[in-house]
Amino acid sequence: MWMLGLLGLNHTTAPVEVRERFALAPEAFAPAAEGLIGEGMITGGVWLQTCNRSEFYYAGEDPPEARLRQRFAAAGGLSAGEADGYLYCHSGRDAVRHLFRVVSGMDSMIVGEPQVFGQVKEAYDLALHAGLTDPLLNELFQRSFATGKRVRTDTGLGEGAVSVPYAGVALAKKVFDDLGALEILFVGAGEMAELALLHLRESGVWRIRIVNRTLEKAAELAGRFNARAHPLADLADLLPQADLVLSCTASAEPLVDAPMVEEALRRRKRKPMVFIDMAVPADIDRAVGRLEEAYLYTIDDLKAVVERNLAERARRMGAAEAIVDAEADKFMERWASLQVSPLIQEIQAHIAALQRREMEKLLKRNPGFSEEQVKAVQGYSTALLNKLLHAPMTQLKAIRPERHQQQMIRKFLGLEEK
Amino acid sequence: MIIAKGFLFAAALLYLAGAAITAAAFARSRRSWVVRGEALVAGGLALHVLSCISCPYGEMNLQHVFSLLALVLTAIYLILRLFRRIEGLPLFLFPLVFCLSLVALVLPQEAPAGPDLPHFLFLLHVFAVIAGIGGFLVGILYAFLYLLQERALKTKRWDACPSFLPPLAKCDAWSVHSLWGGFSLYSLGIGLGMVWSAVSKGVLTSWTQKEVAALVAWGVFALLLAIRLKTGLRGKRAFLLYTVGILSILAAIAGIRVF
Repeated sequence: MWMLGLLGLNHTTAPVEVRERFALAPEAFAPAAEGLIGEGMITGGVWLQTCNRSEFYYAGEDPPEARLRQRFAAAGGLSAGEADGYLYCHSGRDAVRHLFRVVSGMDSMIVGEPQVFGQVKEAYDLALHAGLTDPLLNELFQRSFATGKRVRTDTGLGEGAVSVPYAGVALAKKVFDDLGALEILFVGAGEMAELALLHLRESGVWRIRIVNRTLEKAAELAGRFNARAHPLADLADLLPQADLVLSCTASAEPLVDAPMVEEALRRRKRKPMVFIDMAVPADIDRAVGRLEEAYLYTIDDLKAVVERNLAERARRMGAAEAIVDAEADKFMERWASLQVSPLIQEIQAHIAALQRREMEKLLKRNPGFSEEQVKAVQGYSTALLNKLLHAPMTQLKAIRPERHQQQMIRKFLGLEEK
Repeated sequence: MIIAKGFLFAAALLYLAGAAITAAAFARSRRSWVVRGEALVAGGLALHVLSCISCPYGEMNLQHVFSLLALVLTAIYLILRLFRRIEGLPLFLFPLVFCLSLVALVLPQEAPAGPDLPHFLFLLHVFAVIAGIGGFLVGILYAFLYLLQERALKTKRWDACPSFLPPLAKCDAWSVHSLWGGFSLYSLGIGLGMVWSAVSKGVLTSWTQKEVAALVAWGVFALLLAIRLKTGLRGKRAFLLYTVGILSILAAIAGIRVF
């Protein structure tokens, strides 16, 4: 029987040192899959490699699962016995469901993360262009992308920031319409600043200034991000121009106080300012948060945002699971009809050929038939055959016979052996 | 007249249904439902237009003002919606439109106008003034959205921070743009009213109480915009200022009826 299967390991089943062993480069996978196809074990295969998972999706006529497990374990340099504790193995609907969950980000370490969608697409494209997929795998992956999109659109599973720097950027987006047009001021030039700079660059922010006690350090970081460096003494003068202020220094005293910000707001005609203070102890006086048009967020606030968003994603999982289940059922239905459709087509072609032959004989015996008479006989026989075939065809679609049963039907109807 | 009222009643029902579906869409984070709400409101607008056509106005009264205000607000929203996504606003605009049409239904209906249609200058004057007030109302709605977003961001109560609210900067920009648009249309309306008066009565203004009230409302409008420009007023104070402004304008409109 034409079957779908999956072998794999991920962050929930294998420690990082085992996962590393299975992190195959795409170039290494293609020859291995070609070998399996050549040996007739499978008809197609897709290797999915992400940071936290290595999975092999395959299709074939009764694929030998034990031998595939052995080959999979060998790819990571393990024996089948050694790999057993780390591997999971699904077939049929379970494999379909698993892929749909992976694509939707439901099986990821951070639930709802969007990168996995692109990684699956890349893995599939690679296999497709290397000629390693078959119609069943093509159908499966196309459906999985549609399902992933539906889960994200209908449940909003990927919404909300789930990392501290991104939470800061997300909060700024609630205040400002277009981050690209903002003037950003970094106070401090440490690791956290670098991380936040990366996120801001991804969000399209370009006008960045960095102030730091040590100007050289600010200049070094500014050089890497095409920003401008200033000494700490310029802070008060730079504040009125800054829409978003991010601070993370080791200062024991606050560097930004309420009167400084009040003056900056006055000079900005009360245009809002966002302050993100990632330092402990704080760099920005808490009184700043009490000023109108000044929005102050500390590292604890950002963590609270992240926790809330993670909880929200967990809450949306129920709805996402329901979509995945429904889509997996739909796919199984379609798969079943795909399996029986070649037989139905064969029967229809066989009957059409019979009808054609009988018509030819009839015309030879009765050369005097007029065109209307020929049309009438043809119409009559077509209608009769359609009526006769309707019930068996419907039953075939409903029963979905297995491969050996399909062979029996072929023999019974005198179709060619396939 | 009965037919017009029937159309308006059906339109109000569709506005209500549109408002309910939109509220459910935001409550359940189903953005696609908003489109259904908009479709219902568009249906309501079509019936509303039929209601206006089936019983043309002779002279303006409060019932006409509320009905036209609902119609103009809906039309402007749907036209803008064709070109861009409008976040948050329908949640408050559709109930407002429903309330305005409901008030128009409840207010006593006057006898329909005679066979002669009103002068086109009068019609233009009415539409410009009503659209101007509509712009002001939209400006206030955006100031209200700003207030909601600001409150959520200030209190850091993320549960109360609805995802449908536009960013503060967008709320502020749209609020100011709507006020400017409204002011321009209102000014045009006042100007057209004067021209119509000159054509029909031979004088630009008769300094009746309603005309004085309309000019006072224009002055309030201008003052609000000047304050906004000078101080960059936002948030609660801006919302309060705009509310005082619209109340004085509505009082002026009510004056038209009372006097």
